[in-house]
Amino acid sequence: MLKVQNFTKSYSGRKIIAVDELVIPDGIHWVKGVNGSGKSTFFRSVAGIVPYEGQISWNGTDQKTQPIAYRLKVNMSEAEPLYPEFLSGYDILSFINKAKQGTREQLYALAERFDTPAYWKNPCGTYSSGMLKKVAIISAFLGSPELIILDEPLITIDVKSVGIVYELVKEFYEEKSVNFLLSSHQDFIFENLPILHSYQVENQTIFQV
Amino acid sequence: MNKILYLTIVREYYRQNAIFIFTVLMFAIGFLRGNEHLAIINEALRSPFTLSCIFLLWILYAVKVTLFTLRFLSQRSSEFLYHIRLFPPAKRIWAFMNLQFSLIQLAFTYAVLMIGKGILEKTWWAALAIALVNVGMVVAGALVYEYRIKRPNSRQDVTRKYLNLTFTTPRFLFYPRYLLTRQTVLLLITKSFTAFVIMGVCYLYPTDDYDIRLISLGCLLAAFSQSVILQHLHFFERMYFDMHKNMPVSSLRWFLNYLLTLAVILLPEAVVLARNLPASLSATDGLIQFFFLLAVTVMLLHYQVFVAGNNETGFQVVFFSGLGLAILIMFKIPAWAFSGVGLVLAYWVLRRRFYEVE
Repeated sequence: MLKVQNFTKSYSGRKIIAVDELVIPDGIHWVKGVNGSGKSTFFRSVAGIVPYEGQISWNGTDQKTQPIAYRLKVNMSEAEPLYPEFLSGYDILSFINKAKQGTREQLYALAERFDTPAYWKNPCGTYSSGMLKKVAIISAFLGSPELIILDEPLITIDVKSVGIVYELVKEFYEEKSVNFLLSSHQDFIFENLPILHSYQVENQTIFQV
Repeated sequence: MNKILYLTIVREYYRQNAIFIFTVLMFAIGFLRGNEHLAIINEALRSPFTLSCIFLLWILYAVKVTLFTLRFLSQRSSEFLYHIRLFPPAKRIWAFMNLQFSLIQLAFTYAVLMIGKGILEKTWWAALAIALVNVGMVVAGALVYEYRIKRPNSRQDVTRKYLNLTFTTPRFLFYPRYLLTRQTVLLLITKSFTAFVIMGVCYLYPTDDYDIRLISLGCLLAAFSQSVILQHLHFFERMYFDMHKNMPVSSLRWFLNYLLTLAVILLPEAVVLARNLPASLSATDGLIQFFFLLAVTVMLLHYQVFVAGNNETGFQVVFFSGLGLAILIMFKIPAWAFSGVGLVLAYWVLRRRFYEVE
């Protein structure tokens, strides 16, 4: 269960998104919102990437007072990942895998599913946007997360990879009880994913639809 | 065929590795004197162990260039090179030998010098061994390329499994690699200046009744000269690695990571200090001075990244804190005390501010 209390995120004094209290239960959830509505900022706050005012906790683990324990449980993949062009996807994923306490077998198994070993040791500068996106998606599944945030997971990747993302989300949810916060401008195929609730980010706040 | 291999692979190799080659040459010419090279060569010609060590270095270099070529051949843009297979085998192998020979020039040039010296010294077996190792590196490289070119589908290619070993870049080397590939001018200018400063104070030291504070002042100036490099580190981290704040990594590990990054960046200063340390100072004095240089740089980094951020007034604070530290040095506060306090302060700043920066 994700609990958000007295949450406000501002940039240069301008409020982007705020919510007094929000409880998101276990399950797969779809977060909707137009471009610039604050979806990604909300996700980045939940992942502990950007500072904010208020409290965010996952199953009682507070992000600010238990930063390591929280980050072991909450993973995120960004909508538009950006990596230095001279590093390889393997360099990036190896570091994240080690930090998230994932195993080498887990990393290789995920990479194989997305066909990344064919290129992941080449520098990121040679990747297409879809290849970069696959690296970002893999990074979100490493370790033993309890909540995975996938920001626009379906953009820039090919149809086959979209299918793999659906499979992975379903598999992690059903077999490992991992929960998901997903955002997408495209409609998710509901028969493929058991989406529990939808949330709307609008008018500088987030609420259940 | 030779021309196309030269224009694609050889030129690209030297373009991408210009800094690596420059660093090797800097070390070989800048830090080792001519008579030291001759001493090494004489020792190698007489001692099979030393000669084997040199062979090992050459072979490692040959592996590096071979892996570069294999990686190059695996890119989609290099697919047209697989047409080489249509040429007769002898012509193909010859072209690959030429390619490998062009790529190992760094080792081969030194080998020529060693063979020449070996002939003069009449150490025939050593000279012959050097020649054979170089021929072996060329032939082995050509055979690997021949094997590779016959298997265009890299996913079925066993060279990928056995030869295309890519070492993972550890996190603390991410930024040094960025500096080497994207900020080479900044790096060279900064390192030239700091080398000049450290050599300057070391040469000045014996000329009058100076004490260790002179070296400390030199190290202080060298540390503050890294300001722009540290500012770029802030940019680099925010640009590419905001996501890393989602990593379950303790403050202490982040601190050690930055400490290692800076120790790597300050390696040229360490070498210059070690090479030019005045004779009246001990190795411990030198170590303490390097530790002081490192500690001040770490303090600066943590202030610039975690406190000042993009705030331009940060540079004024940096400037005046530099002056303050110089005054404290003049009041004979020992460098090791600064270093200890500085590192503790830096860690405290990181612990408090790491997740607050954006």
